[in-house]
Amino acid sequence: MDINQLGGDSAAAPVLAALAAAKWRKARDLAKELCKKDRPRYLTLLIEANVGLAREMQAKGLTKDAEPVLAYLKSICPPDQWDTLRHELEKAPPVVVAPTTRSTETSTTTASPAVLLAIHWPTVLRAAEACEKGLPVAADEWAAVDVVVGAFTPAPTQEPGSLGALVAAELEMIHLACTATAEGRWEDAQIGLRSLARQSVFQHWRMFLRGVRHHFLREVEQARRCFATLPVDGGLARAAAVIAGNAVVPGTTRQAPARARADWWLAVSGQPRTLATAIAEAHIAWMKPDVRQAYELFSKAFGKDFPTVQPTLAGLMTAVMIPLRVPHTQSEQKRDQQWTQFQRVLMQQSNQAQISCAMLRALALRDAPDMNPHEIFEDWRQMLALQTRLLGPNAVRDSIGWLWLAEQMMQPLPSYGFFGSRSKSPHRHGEHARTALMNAVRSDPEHEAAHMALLRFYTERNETSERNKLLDELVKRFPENKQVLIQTGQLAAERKAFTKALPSLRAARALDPLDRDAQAALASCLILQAHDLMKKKRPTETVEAIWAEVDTLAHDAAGPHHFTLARWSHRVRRAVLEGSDFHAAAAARLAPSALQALIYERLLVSLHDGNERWAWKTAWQAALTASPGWRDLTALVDTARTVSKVKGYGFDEKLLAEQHLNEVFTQVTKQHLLSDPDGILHFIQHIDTGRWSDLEYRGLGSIISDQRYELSRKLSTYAGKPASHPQQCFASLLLESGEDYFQLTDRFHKQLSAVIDTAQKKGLTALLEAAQRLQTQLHEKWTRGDDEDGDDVFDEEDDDFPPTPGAEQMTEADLKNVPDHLLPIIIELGIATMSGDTQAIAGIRIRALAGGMSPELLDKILRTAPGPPPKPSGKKRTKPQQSELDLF
Amino acid sequence: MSPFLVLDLPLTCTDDQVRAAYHERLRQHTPEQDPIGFQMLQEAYAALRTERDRWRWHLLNTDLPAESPLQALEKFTQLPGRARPPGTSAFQSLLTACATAAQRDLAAANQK
Repeated sequence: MDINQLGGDSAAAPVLAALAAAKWRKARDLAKELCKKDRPRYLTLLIEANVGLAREMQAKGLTKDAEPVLAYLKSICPPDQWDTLRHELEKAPPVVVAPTTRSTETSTTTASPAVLLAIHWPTVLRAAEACEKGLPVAADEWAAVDVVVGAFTPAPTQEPGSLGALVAAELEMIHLACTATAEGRWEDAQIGLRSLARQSVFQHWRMFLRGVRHHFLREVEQARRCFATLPVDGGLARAAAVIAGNAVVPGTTRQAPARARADWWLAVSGQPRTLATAIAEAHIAWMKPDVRQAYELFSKAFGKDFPTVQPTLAGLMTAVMIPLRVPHTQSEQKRDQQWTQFQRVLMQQSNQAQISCAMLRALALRDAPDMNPHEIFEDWRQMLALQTRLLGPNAVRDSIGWLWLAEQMMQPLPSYGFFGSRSKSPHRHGEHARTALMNAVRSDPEHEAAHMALLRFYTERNETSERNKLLDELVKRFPENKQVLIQTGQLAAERKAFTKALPSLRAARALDPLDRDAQAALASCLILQAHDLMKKKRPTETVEAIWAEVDTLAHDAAGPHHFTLARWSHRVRRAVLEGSDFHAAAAARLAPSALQALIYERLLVSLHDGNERWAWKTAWQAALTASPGWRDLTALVDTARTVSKVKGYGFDEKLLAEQHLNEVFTQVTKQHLLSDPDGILHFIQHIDTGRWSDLEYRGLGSIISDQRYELSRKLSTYAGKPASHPQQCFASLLLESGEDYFQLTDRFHKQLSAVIDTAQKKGLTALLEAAQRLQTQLHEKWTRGDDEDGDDVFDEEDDDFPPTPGAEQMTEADLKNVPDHLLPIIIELGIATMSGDTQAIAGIRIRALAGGMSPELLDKILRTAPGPPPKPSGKKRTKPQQSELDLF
Repeated sequence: MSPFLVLDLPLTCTDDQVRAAYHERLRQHTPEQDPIGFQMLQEAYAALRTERDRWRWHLLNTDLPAESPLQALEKFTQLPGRARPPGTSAFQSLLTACATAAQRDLAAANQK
């Protein structure tokens, strides 16, 4: 008897339920009992249970266990049915259903469509009756309707004219529409569903199929609206989620089985569907996480095509698996550890070039800033060799690769504060950088960026003859390169070869009239020329013509370049034309702030032994009383930093800068600690995160350090008030975080979280972003363990500066034992030692001893802190050179 | 997502192939009809325009295509011009699997 006809048989119901739940053994035992009563009627059930059992065993790879089941099947099946069954069991792959998020299923196979139809048909009829009468339909009834349609089997024969016959006809209609939709025959699907009644039990299928049509026609909004009408508990909502590209049914945690999703996405993208099981299982393994299992599943599924660096589906899966990102979550960290172990196994395999290449690339890109330079050089070189082996030789690719490596080697050494070590080289590893740059240029002589990097390398290392030789070559090779023209012009200007310099710089400016660098370089060159002509007592008209050209470069709009140009113009003019207050006023107008103009003027006057303008002090006092803010102070720190980079900048200028900055700082802290929370935060962010440390070596560190200490003290009163003063609290935390992130307490993290909450509530976007960034940075630092990674660089650089025998250096442990109240004194002492200020050192020494510091510790600090930068003692201060003018 | 996959090109493609693939897809993914697809195509074209661009992307990109293999496959399907009606068998498989999973989940919930 046909299994569909057993739907209404109460005796068969438990067997059908067991079959539907894929409980094959239970179904088999129950069916055996029924067969004893009426074998012809219930034999179908016994066969169905044994088929299910055999399939499950095959799916689990238990082929030997399946043999007796198949033998039994052969004995009970009619011969013609057995032939069909055997054919199906041999050819058709088992239906594997990976677990869903909520499913409790344990079996790996599902019941046959006929069984599903037999079980759920009566429920569908009940639901259809309810629909016809306008009564509500329960969730499990909707689910049964979807199962019946999803069985894709014709309905059992029904009595003509009955409700069953109508539902059977509608079911056929839906099946035809599904086929048309699946094949992209949209009109056929629409026409086929026109006669579906409004009160049909399959009504939601019409919306679903309409949504599918809109989806493939890229009418996203219409598709979304159709899918939103589907019952969320039903199967269609899950299918719609897969089609629309949502991981789960919107608003729920329900999702389609992983294998079904993989199968669908492979089918719609035209990829082999045979990969579905592997991808689904690899996904489950990956999420566990079990990197090795996921990798092996892919290897088995893709064969030799996996892993690969090629842009294919296998390449995409390779890219997903390779650890290209610094691990954040627990799962990512676990995967990272598993990779480290698994890599050793992989490297022993014969065909490991693809994975080695991908891994070396990913790890170098990810960890380059923290890796030992030798290690990264070797890894990257090996990766490039593997690229050649796998993809064939290519000069362009090699050049790009070598240039990247050179840029890593040319990074400046990280600053470790004044207790850290010093380096003679401006680069992380000069010789590796040189080799990489030479390789880049040699591989692809037309690679402009590689040549420019080599030029920068020579400039930064003061290898003048090499630089000049290269520049001459580059002018011929890249006559339209702006940077080449600027550098050539500047070089000629330094030698006072203005006839060569000016055409180069004018050509650079003509290439990009809005480029500020080209503009500044041309103006600087003209100023030098004017200066030179004035010295040689050339006619005033000639000099004035040059000034006029400088003015055209300085008179566009306000901005740092124009400001500095104007300042230079003013300074140089004053050297010739006394009492040029008019030009001073013009410069102040162009400056970002009056204070900035005045501090610049004062510093430059001091630097170049000029005479102070008589009205300067009055102007300074007036500017100070005009309520400068935190942003002014930030700009002034930058001003001081810029001026400090000028060659010949010395101790007097440092004192001058400190004095002026202190005056402004005192003025600002008096008024703005509460009134301008954003400004104070801006200032802290500006001087924090190590940016101020480069000033230490230039002798400006003490002012920044003092400000930092003073601010830290004042702001600490707001540290516990993240709700009322979030900016101040965050500023305080920011200062604290720069000290030692391993020492940060729970209190710190709680306050940081509270700041984030408050910023979210109050809509303080800038604060929110900054606080979240700090949180991420701290997390990254913690998980990456920067200190361990940095040791190699330290060790290598320490070789350049062997410690003095017998001189004991101050250690971190010593620093930890120092009482808190002595820490600011130690910082002051360090800075004073660096700047070589013996008077200040003596004063601080007395205070330190009076504060309870032991003489031994004091000596250690003095030995550890680096000395002052070399002074050009005994040499007469010279006029600024072209390279100095570049800054202005 | 790899621009090579977006334009469906091999690593060794030429400038002309890149241009042709871009223009071909652009006709089907206009900014009005498919703004996301259009944006993807623009970015992919910019990344692959010259041989130097292509190798730079290949060597130096740090794009993580997805968090998991299945998510990567899903994103791959959503690339411009990738998704096509899948045919009867795949459609039926999806509907059967989803309907069965939903029915089982409901039955399990009812049992609890």
